[in-house]
Amino acid sequence: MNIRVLLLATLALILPALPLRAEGETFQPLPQVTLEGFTQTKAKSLDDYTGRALLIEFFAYW
Amino acid sequence: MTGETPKDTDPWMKSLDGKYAYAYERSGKLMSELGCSGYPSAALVNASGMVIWVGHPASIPNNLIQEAIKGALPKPVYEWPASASAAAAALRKKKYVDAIAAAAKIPEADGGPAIKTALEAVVSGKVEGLKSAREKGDLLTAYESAKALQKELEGLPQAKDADAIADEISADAQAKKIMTAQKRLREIRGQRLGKKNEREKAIEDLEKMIEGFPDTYLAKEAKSTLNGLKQKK
Repeated sequence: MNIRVLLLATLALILPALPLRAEGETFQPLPQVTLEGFTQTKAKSLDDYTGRALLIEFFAYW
Repeated sequence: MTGETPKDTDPWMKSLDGKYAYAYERSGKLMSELGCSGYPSAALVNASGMVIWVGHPASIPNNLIQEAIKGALPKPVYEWPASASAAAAALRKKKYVDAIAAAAKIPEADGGPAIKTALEAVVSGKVEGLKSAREKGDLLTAYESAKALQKELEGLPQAKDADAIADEISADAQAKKIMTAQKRLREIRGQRLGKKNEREKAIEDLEKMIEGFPDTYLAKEAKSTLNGLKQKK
């Protein structure tokens, strides 16, 4: 069995157990967290966006 | 927002000519508390500071964007002049009566009247959002908003609207049952449901909601969640 087949077989076993991503409407206060290094903005904390609509995207580079 | 480092992120962002604001949160606490487990994920926060949607950034419903910006300030507080610092501080604490009173003292040359009008619009937007939730039968949202607004709007005439809705819902036994079911619905939506028995229990509970509370906002939402779950099976 080559490595690719082994990886695919492993994935096939793991995938059904992987969590489903939470998606949909909710209504909850924005959890209080400390963010650092605000870039490309004059904001220094999430509180600086009080009264504004905000879209927070969680991203990773690759 | 990213959990990585400026060393990795800044050059990457520059290479893509990304213009939007970003920041770092290494612990991943915000992501996990919002139930987000993959990249990219997103959370939409309305002008009242409530998270109203989470999911993949490409699938944000347009109507929720409209809802989120309702009553939003035209300028963020970090762009306000120094003379508005007291109003900004009160706003950050969600003390609207104090924020509006402080805004009334900001000189006209610094945009005081516009800031005051904007704050009053934020208050109106909050009350409209509350009434809208109540009208569409989203009792849990209406009740939670009303409780929050009772504090935030203390000292303002609009606090009476929040009082009335909170009192009306808390005095209604059927509304309490619906809110209990709505909390379970929220839990189901926030769960990852990776295990078969978890999915089956969620489906069973959703079917009970649809049968037990026909023709309600809850039943409509439960149906939508149930369909989504069945498709993922």
